[in-house]
Amino acid sequence: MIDVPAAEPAVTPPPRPEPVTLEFTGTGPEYFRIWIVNVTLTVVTLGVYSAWAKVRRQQFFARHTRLADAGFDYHGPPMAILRGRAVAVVLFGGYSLAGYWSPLAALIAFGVLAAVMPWLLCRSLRFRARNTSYRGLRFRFEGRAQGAYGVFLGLPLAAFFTLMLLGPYWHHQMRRYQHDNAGLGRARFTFHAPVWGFYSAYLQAFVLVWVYLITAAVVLGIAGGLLSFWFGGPADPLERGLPFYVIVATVAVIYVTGFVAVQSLVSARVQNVAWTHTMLDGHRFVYRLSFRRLFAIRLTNLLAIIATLGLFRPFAQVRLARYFASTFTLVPAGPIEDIRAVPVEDIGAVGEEAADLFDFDIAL
Amino acid sequence: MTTVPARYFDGRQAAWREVSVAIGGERVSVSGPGVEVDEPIGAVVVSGPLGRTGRRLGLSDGTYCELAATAEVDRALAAAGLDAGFVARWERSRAGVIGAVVLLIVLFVALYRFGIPALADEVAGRMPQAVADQLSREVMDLYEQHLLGQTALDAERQETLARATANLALPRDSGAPALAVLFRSSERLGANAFALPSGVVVVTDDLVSLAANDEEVLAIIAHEAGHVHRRHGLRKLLQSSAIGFLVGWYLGDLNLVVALAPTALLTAKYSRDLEREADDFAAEVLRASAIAPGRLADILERFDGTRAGLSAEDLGYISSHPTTTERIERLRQQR
Repeated sequence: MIDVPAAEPAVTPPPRPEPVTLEFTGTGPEYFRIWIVNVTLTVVTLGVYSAWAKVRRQQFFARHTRLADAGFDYHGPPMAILRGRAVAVVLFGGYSLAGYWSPLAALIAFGVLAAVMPWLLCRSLRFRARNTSYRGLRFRFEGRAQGAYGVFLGLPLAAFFTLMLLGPYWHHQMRRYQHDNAGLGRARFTFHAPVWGFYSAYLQAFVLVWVYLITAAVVLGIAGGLLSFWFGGPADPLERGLPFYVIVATVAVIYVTGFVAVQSLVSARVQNVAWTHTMLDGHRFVYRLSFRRLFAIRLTNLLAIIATLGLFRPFAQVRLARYFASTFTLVPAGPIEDIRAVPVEDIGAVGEEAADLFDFDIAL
Repeated sequence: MTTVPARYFDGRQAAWREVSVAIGGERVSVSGPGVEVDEPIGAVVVSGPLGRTGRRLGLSDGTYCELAATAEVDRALAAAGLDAGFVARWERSRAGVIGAVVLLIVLFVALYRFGIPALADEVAGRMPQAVADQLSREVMDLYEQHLLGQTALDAERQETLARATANLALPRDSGAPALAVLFRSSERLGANAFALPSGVVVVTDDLVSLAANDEEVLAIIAHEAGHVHRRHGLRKLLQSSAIGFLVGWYLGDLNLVVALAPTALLTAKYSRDLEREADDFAAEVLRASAIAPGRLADILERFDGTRAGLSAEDLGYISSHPTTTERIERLRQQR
């Protein structure tokens, strides 16, 4: 077992026992430059450049995320990402084409996809962890394929058959699989969030959905009334005239804002519960996302993106990243500098292949 | 030779060390507490500039130094030949970024107006007829279940029209399937006609009774034949899929409904173009069959007269068909 040589005087800053909050130092204009070149080159190369674009994007967000005066980093090799994407295109393209051929073909294709997805997701988690680092130490993910099948296939099926009553439990198990099998250097992440936390989050979302539906019904009723007053006579919903499109637009607006609201609520609650009950060896985390702030940011982002025909998107991503970082805190049990890397010869034992032909890097 | 301060990460522990990095004379040397490394420039890997993060100097043993994000560092690296790559230089130049926006707009427009339609045309032409037939069967089953009922036309009338259709001067070598005209009654569709990629053309009873003579019915059939011969069904499907994919990719993980609106708008134009193509095809076929192309305009006019108030066509950009007025005008000009 190789240890750090004693002759090495590590001149480090004094240990920080106080909580440290993540900081995101990137700005919208800076990222816009990277984003626009990424998009343009991707279109020019008919998608081939997308792998390099992804690396650049991940590096931008990783390196500008700083914790205790040091940034993260991303090392994904572009060629591996490209190969992974090619495989994904074949898989999903095949599935879509099968749909046009016959319902039986679609079913078979779906079966193949379902059988292969958990394994792909497991590899994807491993790839992302292994290629992300903090202060030169690589993260790792040691989840086994069996666990992936349980969490990404077995549980969703169970949830589906219980009319989604097992849904929050499924989500809880998914996060547990992701957090509990992760590590940074030699330090291990552990996950001990209560299942109730997830049920509480989804219960709140359920209430919100009902409030929304009732409000929507009222608004639509008023809108319908106003329209028939305006255009005279009862509006036949099947007549595809102007009133029809106005109703469609109103429904769309209500649906979209409701969707963003529910998404923000679930997101905020689940993230808070998941991270506040995660530890890295003795170090703790605190995540304090506010549903209202998140909803406001997401909704204004959406409106701005629509208004600018998509050009606001990089600014939107930076806004979100900045908010996420500002609410994420590490409560160290001791100096972070004490975290050590996994010794070189142990890497093979953990199952990390030295050279992969392709790594799946499917967006999770 | 320039010397800059840096942080040294040895990859074995989270703590960093304050070191000095000297760049110059084809070599890079790092010196600090417990660190003495000297390497040729070719052996190190330097990350390009990225926002306001410091440059990372990766040494050959896997360790790396994080340099400050200052102009001095940039100059020193540039002088040593470790310059920013083409992409990084493009990102940093304001003219480059504006140029990228313009180029992107041009590319999107080119893809939309030429690229995607051309590609869809190519692929649709190579699709085996069996696939088209399969699709058509499924759609027809759906329509028969929900929209179409038994025709009220007597057998003789159907026979007459079928024979007249067979006499239409349709192109013989386009590889298109033979037409099969079916008559159905439909309350929901009213006076209407549609074609499926397998060659099936459905004409409703209401449309037959709306027509003043058989030639007008044939004109409609000729228009629908255009959809079949030019493979509009498949082309429309491929084009809308491509647009949907492009819009979805560009907008990212945005709301699905929000992505639908621009997709619908963009594909509506494709639909209008295909309708115009079908009208042109019909005019040609009618002329070759010794029928005045104006017959199509006649029935369109009659058709327009039956609908009161605002209709979908009048809404211009959202509509899947060009305005009836425009269609009539184009047809009358063709004589």
